[in-house]
Amino acid sequence: MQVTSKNFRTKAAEALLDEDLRAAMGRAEGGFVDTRKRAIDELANFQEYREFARNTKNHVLAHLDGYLTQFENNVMASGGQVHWASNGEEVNRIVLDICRRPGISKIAKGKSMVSEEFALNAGLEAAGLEVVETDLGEYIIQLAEETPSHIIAPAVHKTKQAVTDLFEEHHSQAGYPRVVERLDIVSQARQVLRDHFCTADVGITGGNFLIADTGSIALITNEGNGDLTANLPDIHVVVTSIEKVIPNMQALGGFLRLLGRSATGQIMSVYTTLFNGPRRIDDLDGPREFHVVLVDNGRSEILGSQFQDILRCIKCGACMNHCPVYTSIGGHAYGWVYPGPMGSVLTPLMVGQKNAPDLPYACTLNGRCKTVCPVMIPLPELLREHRNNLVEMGEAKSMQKWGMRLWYQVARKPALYSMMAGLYVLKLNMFARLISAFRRGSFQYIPLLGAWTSTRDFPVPQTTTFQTQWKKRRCHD
Amino acid sequence: MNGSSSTRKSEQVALLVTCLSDLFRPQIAHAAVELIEKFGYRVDVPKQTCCGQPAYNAGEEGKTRILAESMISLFEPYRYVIAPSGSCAATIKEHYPGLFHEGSSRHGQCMRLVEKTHELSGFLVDVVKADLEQKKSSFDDGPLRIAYHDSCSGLRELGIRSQPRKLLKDRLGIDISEMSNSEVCCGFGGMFCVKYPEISTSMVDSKIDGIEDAEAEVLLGGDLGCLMNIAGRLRRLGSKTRVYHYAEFLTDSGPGPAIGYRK
Amino acid sequence: MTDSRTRVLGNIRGSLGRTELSPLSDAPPSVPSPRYRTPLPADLAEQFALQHQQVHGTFEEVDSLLAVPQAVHRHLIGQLVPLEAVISPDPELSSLDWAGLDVESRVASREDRSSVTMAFAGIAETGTLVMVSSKQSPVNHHFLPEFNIAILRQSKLVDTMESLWPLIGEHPRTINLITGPSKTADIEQTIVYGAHGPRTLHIILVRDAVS
Repeated sequence: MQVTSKNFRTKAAEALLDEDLRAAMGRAEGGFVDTRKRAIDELANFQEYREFARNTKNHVLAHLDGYLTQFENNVMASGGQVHWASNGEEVNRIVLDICRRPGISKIAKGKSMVSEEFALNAGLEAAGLEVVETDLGEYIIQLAEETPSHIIAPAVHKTKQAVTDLFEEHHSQAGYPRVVERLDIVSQARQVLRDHFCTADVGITGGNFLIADTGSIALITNEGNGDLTANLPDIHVVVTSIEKVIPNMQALGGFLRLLGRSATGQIMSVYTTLFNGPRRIDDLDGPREFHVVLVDNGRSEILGSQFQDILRCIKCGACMNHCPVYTSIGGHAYGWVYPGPMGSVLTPLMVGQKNAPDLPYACTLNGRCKTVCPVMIPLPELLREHRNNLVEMGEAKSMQKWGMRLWYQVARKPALYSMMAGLYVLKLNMFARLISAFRRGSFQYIPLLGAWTSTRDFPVPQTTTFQTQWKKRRCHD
Repeated sequence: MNGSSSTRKSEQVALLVTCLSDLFRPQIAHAAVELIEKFGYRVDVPKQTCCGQPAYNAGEEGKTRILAESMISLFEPYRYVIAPSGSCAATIKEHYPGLFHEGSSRHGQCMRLVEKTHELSGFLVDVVKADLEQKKSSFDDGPLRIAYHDSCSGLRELGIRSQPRKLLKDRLGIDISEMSNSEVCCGFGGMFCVKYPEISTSMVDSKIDGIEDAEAEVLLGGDLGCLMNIAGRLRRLGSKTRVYHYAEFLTDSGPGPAIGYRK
Repeated sequence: MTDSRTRVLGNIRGSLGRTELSPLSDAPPSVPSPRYRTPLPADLAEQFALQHQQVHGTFEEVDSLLAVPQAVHRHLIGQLVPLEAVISPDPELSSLDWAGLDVESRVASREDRSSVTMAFAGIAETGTLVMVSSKQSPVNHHFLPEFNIAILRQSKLVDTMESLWPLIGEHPRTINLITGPSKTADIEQTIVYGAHGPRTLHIILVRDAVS
């Protein structure tokens, strides 16, 4: 996916003016936050699970090569094939090699955020293959030629009206009527996509967890599209990333208790499926070939670095649902695959800090994301690490450096601070008298502080600082 | 007032004024001094600047370390260091230790400061075990509807939530009219509010929706940055809701003009 | 030129500061047991029914497998769909007396409106059906038809997922953990049932447990 994170500022400002988006985000925020809270309050030892998940992921990351090799051996033992890809180009080549055979023309695809990292669909389409997204949200944005704006609700920014229009535009030629009601929209998508499922030659899905000691892929959906994608075509290709491996089935239960609750407030998602290799000799259905593409794409570089904790992420979306910045501007402004807090940590690491310089600052460090993260990723601390790096690299914005330097020079010398602070409040107070802000008690405009005063008043200070007042009080005592 | 002042006379408390209160709202620091003195402590205000929070959040660890070192030395002689701000106290308590090598003597000194630093309401409730007397005739025109904004650092890094509510209940005899979004960031975020003013404004507008839903006449909180942000937006929108630091409501003389008001 | 596998594994080891493959010698953390604020019913069948109904599934109990065809009959009438179903090629299901219903024992196709399947187990904690693929239990039955009826023996109920894994011997091609009917919230965050899989999921619990 093309990186447009450099335009964060402009895109965020645009998003704030988009009434439909704001309404959609408001709805989503309320729904996700309340349902999650209800589900989590019921599980008395939720915190114990968070610690379990954090420790398990840390353990796996420390032995990542060992677990991946174990997983690989077990996939092969069940008749599957494992492909390794260091980067997106390699993934695209691997998948194309699998698909470039006579008789293969259509690919059904389940939701896979990993595949968005390197625009797998575009690569396949360029080779003349038809790719159909089958998750309803993904299908909607595919029709709209957009990108996901949320990792578990990709079309969260789309209104019902927009979907009605899209469906009419794309389905009417095939004789489908215009559908307005929610149930009718979903039914029409079901019918249209059924045709695709039943005629697809290859099914591509992601994988939520890779179970090392059995070689199983755990895939979690609510719609069931992942299962139809995996089960109906003759070839099933799983595109997934290396950090998703977990030791065993016992661990899976621990993660499942966290994932559904954190993502959507569900105790369990509707479909959790474990895939082990291709159709067996006496099986009556299932794919004839089973491929797993293990994608690195920069993750092995994050491993062992100060940002390693982000590799624990299980992509539940709780951090974005609880992020007041994300819920104000939506996902697209972040400019790449992963939005919100986890995206602001991950995107600079995967696309280069210079290509996403704003993201680490697009955060008030309010810490709400960290308190809801099911794998206890210290997201604010990682964003601060990015800021440290940007400062070290000299990439911090010049105005900020200039302002910061001035402030620092004053703050490190108490005498200078005392003088400057005294002078500052006095001048501000005098300025207030000049422009009659004094009577109001607050400024509606202050030079150089327009970013504040364009939308907010600023209080008129007293003529002296507290410390000066205190000194006087001490003298009188 | 509860408080065996005789035993505490010798315990010297330093006030961490906080830059914002020093510059823009001395009333908060005065209120803090009054409240601490009520319990028999001697309060001192050593000549100070900033805890380094803006530098720390901007990714300037080196500069933060230098400022932290002077704060550590400055407050060495005191028994307690009290800040009327969750975020300044949290900078010391949560973030200073990471600036120094564990095992170094600086780190040891730092940890002593960490131990004795408290946010004002946390100190009064958890350390002093204060029970404030209810003010007489607090409200002649019937009780005010007061909402409370839980500033993020105090709430999530220091666990400040029940403490100011208890003090306000003791003193005013009323319960907070809770907002559904009391724990959501107001959009201040230090430099954030001037770096991304549009997003910040959108966030403070959501906060104001919560204030309006709670039909609050007064909004209180414990961090002046957030309060200036919320008060400034309310004022600009022509709202009648007035904003104060909670400490201003706990003093004997009661609050003066609200933030951004002359009267 | 090194191949990608060598490169990825080499990078991992480089980042972890190792040169040799991790022997996986230390055991991973063990999973906690769940504790609920409102305790779940002690009886597993009751617990299962409660949780299954919470996720919009429907549920009934019968005394023996022999009563299943009648229950299916009643359910299909209730759903106002034709009295026909594709049943999993499971000898136990095939041997039942399906008089009055048009049933076929074969792989499901997209034309089938209703299916009847035999569950491998049920997880009480979450109201989850466990389906294990085999020649008697093809996978498409759980996903293609609009109306899915699953038969679950009470003796096959387990408390948690952790108790399930030891019951599954050699790993089958697929294990489907199914918790309620298919649904989506992709249109304005409002739930609609029957996204791609079944619109309804009806479970018939057969009370075969030794009391």
